[in-house]
Amino acid sequence: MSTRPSLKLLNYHGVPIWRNVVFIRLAMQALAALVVISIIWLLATNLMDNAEKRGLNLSFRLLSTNAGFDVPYSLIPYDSSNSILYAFMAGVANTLRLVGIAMITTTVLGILIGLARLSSNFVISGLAKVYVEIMRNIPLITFAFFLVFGLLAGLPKTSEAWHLPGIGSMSNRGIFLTSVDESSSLTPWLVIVLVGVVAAYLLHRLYLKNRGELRLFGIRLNRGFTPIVLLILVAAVGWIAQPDAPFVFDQPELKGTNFVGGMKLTTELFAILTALTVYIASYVAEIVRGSVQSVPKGQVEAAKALGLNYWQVTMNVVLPQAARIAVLPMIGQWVNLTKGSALAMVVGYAEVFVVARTAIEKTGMAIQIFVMVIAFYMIMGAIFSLLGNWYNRKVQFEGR
Amino acid sequence: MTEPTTSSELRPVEDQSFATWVKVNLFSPWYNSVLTVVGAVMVILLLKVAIPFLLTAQWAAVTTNIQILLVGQYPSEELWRVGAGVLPMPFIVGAAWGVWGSMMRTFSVILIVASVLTVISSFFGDSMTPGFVLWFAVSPVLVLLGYTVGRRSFIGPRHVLIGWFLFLMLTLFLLRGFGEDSAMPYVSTSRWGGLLVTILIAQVGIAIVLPLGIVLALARQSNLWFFKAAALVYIEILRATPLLALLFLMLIVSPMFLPDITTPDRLMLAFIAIVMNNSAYMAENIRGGLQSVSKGQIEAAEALGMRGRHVTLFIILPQAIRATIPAIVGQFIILFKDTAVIALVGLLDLLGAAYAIILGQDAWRTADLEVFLFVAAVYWIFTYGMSSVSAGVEKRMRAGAD
Amino acid sequence: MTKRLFLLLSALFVLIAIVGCSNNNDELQAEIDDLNTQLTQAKAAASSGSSSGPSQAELDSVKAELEKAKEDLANAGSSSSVAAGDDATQPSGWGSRLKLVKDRGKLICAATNDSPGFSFINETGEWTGYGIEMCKAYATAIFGDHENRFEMQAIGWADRPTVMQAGKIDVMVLANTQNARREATWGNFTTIHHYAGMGIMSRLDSGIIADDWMSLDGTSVCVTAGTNYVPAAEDLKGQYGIDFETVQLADTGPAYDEGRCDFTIGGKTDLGRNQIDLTDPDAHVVWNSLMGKDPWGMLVGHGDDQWYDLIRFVEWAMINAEELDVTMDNVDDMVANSENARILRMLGVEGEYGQEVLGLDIDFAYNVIKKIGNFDELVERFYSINDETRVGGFYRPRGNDALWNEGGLLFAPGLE
Repeated sequence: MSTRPSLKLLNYHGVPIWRNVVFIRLAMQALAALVVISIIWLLATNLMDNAEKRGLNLSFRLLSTNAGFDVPYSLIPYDSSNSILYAFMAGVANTLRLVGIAMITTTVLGILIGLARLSSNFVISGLAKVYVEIMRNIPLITFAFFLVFGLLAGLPKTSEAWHLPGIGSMSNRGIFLTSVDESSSLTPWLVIVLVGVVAAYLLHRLYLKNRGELRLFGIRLNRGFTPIVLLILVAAVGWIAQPDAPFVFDQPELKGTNFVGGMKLTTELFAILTALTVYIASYVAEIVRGSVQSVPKGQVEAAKALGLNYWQVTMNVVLPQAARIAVLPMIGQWVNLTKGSALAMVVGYAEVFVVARTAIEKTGMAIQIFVMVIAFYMIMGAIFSLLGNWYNRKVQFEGR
Repeated sequence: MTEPTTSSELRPVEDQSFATWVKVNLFSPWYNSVLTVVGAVMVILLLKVAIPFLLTAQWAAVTTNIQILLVGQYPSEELWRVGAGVLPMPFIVGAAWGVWGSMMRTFSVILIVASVLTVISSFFGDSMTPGFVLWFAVSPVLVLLGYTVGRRSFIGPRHVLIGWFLFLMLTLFLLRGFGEDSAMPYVSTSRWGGLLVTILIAQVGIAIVLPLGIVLALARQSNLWFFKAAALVYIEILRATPLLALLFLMLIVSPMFLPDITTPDRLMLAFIAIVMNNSAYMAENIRGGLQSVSKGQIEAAEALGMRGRHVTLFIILPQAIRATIPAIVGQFIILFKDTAVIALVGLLDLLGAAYAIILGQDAWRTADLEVFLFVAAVYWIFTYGMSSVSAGVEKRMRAGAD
Repeated sequence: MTKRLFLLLSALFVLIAIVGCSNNNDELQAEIDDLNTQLTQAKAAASSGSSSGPSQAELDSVKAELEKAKEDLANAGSSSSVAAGDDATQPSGWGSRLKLVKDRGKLICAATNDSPGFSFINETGEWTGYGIEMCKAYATAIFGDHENRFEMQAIGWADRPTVMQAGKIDVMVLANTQNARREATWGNFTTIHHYAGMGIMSRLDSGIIADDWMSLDGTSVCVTAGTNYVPAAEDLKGQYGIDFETVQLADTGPAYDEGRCDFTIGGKTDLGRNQIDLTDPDAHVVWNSLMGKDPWGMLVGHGDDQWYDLIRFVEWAMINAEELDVTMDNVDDMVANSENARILRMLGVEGEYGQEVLGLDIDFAYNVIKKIGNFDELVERFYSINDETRVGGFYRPRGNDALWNEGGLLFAPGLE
């Protein structure tokens, strides 16, 4: 660092004021701040003018009025008599559902395709490469458009839906799965299972006491296995002993042209989920490939020299090291996923941005609702960035 | 593309007849056979669906509307300006090929092939005006011409970049025009559209995003608290906001903050949104590069008596940018793909034109797949070209590093 | 270098301060001076008695403009003293929009580009449709011609309130459904040009019985996102105590056709046309019952009565022209030979009937009818039954849109 001049601003050893470093720094920052503030002030006065002229409502009070519009396929219970703020929250919940599912599917598919690209099988690695090259090189929104039209046309009507007996069916109204619902006997069964867990734990303690040796009728019982068997036995007895099963399977049934009952995954959610998964997975695949290839060859060779087989080398040597490199870019892709979810507008899935637009149409409060939308995405971004920082710190402490 | 470094490379070289190659690569352990068969079945199923569709599709939806898809609402009588304005682009691509060599080869070849295919396809239908056909016929020649020029030893990367920038300015002036009465009447940006706008936004965006990103990254690293805080807020807000939300904010909401006398240029607003979004990412990329410059370099420069400004400009920045070139090129690709989102705010870029055709023209309301397939193919051609450049850059850098 | 930067930034600061504090009273003063000279010239010409001089009407108009400009100046002065002078640069209230449009030299209309017949982009990239012709008509009325005098801006359905509130466009030429909420929060609806009914089209195989509301229970509906049909669907549920799945899409056409939904809501006239496009038109039925009213009108912003009246004046002239059988072809003949006082008044032969107060040319109606046609001619261009003469639209019977004296709802105020 160079020596700092003192704050004797006006005359420092004959240096004129505009050459005084301290002053220049202060002045530059002050001027920049002034420019920014005056721009903001100008914009704000314009907004106030426009609001006055055309009778805009700039308060947040209207958010508590009745929404009067539907949030289709809402995750939280919702009907149109709820407030607009609640509708917005329903949109947020829908976004979280979409992002939550997509994070899992994207990661799994991405890893599979990344490994396929590394495969020595020409057909598989070739297919994976074609997949990655096509997906990475078209815009997500074009793909989403394409997909929603393709899905609607490609999937059968409900009357000709594809059935998988006992599990569910698929049509262009979505995927309907047999759902598992609780029955009245769930609570007693859970109590019985809890008892089983306690018994298994006690058995485990007993093993520890007897130095891992337990015999029943002279037969030596396996140490890891027996507590689990005990637990399963208790649970099974609890299941059978009660008049009805603790879970009820609710199978979707075709009524008219709609399925009733069961679990539903609408075409809209399916479309945006597929679009995001298929698209982002191509990036994840590249991350996986890059991080696996970045594991030094010497490591693999050393592991092989120790006599580990291919599977052991992959699971115990390559993947742990690759994962450390891959996690940060992976979180970056999850952020991309969150932002990409706004494109659900194209397919008609009611996530936060779609609900926001509907609410704006209904109330005309564009500015207030946009503030809320941006705040939501900022919070999501902050959460992911905290996650990234936390992981980074953890890895650094362990690694170096 | 990168070389495989997996087990296949570790195997000793052996007799590589086709049969053994197939056996080793496709069927060696039992599960590989299963995978091969599954893969082959997938390919066959895909082709079985795709080929009949491609043959029976209503391609007339694309061919009759080729003008909107390529240039949007640009006035028909002024189209020669578009042709003339965009003509230097293939030349510059060719020159870049000549200068940088293999890195740009794929991109140039793709451009040539696409142009030639367009010309050939124009013989099967009469919907393309002669001007368009002429343009696509001339552009491969220009690419090759540019290549021969670029091969000359006195042409360096600097010349290509400066030439690109000048031609870009020229294109913009030519497209915009001058006055009502001049030979080239003023054409408002609200009439620009189609592929033209996609390419222009991408190019001008690339020219602006990099310097802006550098400034932001430097501000973020600065020890002047206001610049640091402003850059931090800017980068963090824009990185968290989806481009779609930003575009809506700029095009739909921001006019509320402007006085009535202004009539905001919507294309410009969309462009600003794209640049803002991408510059925040670019700043983060470059910041990574700045942090990777070793402290010893800075200390050495200071020991030589260089001033802080000069250290940043001549020591840190060049190294930082060199280190982040792959990320920068990657960001350019993202920027190009991002331009598609402006279709959702009512602008008539390539995707917007497709949307306007399907929804607005009564005759083509059922030709959605055809038009979107065409649009996806056009995006793919350009982005694949850019990706191949990026791969080339990475390869070259890795070669330099070893 | 640093010195220059310092000076530059200081200069910038001073500039911002100046811009922030100034107002444009000088401009108004200059306008008044200009008008004063015009007035004296006109008076001189009138007193010299030459036949080529300006008419009394023109003299009066200059006088009126002068009075108004003086008033503006006074208003600007008073408002700047009240509101610290920063908003005097912006026109407000009566006449501000027209002045804005004339200064700009262009009329800016907003529309979506996804409505065949109403507003869409044709193969050569030109905006086409009923809405665009109306925009041309407004431009013609204001400027005498529409060539290079109007500009279209594409927007989305859901963005309409925001676009209206921002006030950067002059007229929204869209199939805007008029309702009380929108009238209060969006802007003013001008003359209703199409009296659609909110209708329903349902699939025959879905178990829905046409005109039986209760049969909609447990089904699903496709509605266009950002339109009035979304809350209307909710009202329907409440009204009949039924429940159905609402699918909100940007484009309901393919989704409904492929069987994503059992029924769809839209303007009844449009539904009939959409039915023809479906893969199997016979498998669908458009209900006779209506969900509600669906009157369509153009939109102008709140806060400028002159602009609102001006736009309606143009529409009225076109409707009156249809009623009086004035067409694009016979309008010249009418000006020369007609003896109907209403026609002559409308076409500006007889002089002022309010045009000048609204800042229109005295013969604006002549220009509009000559270049665009009367209401019927315009409708016929996009909704005619004749496939050959129609450009890019579809057949839509006039129905309720017929004139008041022909059994319809359409009328324009009289010309007495």
